[in-house]
Amino acid sequence: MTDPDERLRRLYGTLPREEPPPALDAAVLAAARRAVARPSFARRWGAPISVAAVLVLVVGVTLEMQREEPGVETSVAPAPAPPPAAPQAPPPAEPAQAPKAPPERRARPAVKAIPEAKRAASASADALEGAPAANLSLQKRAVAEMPQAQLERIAKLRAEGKDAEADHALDAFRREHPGYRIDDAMWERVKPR
Amino acid sequence: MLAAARAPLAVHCGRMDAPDEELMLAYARGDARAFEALYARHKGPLYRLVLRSVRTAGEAEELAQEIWMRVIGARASYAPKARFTTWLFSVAHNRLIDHWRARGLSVMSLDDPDHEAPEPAAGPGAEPERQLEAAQAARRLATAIAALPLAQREAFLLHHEAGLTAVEIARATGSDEEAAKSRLRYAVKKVREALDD
Repeated sequence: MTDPDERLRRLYGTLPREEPPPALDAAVLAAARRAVARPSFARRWGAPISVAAVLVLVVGVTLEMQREEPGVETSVAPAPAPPPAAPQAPPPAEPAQAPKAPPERRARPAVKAIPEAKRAASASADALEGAPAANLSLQKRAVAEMPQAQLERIAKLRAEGKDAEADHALDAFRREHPGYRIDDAMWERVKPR
Repeated sequence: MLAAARAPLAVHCGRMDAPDEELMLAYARGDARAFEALYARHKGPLYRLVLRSVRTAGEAEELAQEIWMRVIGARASYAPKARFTTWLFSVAHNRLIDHWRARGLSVMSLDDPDHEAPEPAAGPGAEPERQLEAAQAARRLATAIAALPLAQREAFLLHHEAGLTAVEIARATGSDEEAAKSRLRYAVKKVREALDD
């Protein structure tokens, strides 16, 4: 005796086996390739390029600072040459003490400027390295945000008449949560007008 | 070292026998060939399910493409909590729901087992040349499926086309297990009755 479900299955198997047209296959596969081609480059090279840029900055600033004469405090920002003549060329008749003090005072900030520059560069490195981390945590938070809360936000946009923004947000929601089922009541609030 | 570690996975995922979930995860990591394998495996059942759920082949093509685009767009958030097929057809279900809603139907009415299909799906009448080639029993089956209420038709197709169990149908359609079983049972009963007439 044949299982009725099996009989139905076999009969179903005799129905035409339609396949998507080749143009559809090509469109989907091209989109799939594009989707992974772009971000992978940015992901692979974005961080190394940022780090290299920061290193170049640090080395450049350090060398520049070392090359600068003591007392020139504006070395970080390329500025017109400061007037060095006064402290560097004291009149021979003057006592030695007078010109000594200012260079010491000026030298100190210059010496400090290197760690400061390094700190600044390192801070910017942290900022650059931290930027993706911060973005990641934001992304994680966005992903973790309950779909219902996102829908509430879209409903609010609709209520405020910001339809273009709401349409965009709804598309993004569908991309992010393609498997999420929007109930009727919520759909009425978020659906495209 | 990283490249060496990745190579075997890429090779493995390039094989047609890799599990769906592994292919999808590999695609999320950037392996486009994994998606190609996944697409080749599921494009037919998905397309036929959509084709038998809507009015015209043009609509089916458009919807099928959008469903795959959603799959591509969701690759980063994909987590294999269930079979990939269940997830894929839940994406399809949601897109179809949007499609039917745009025609003024609500999920409530779709869930009503007695709710008749507001639009006959692309049955054998849609393509006369196919009708001529098909066996009479198959034609009657196609007609019976096209005449099913939306929710029952979907349950029937998810079972027979996509190979989903009642539990998986419940997951894919966001309904409870009993409702999914009931829809499938009603659908099979109506189809059998139509075939026995």
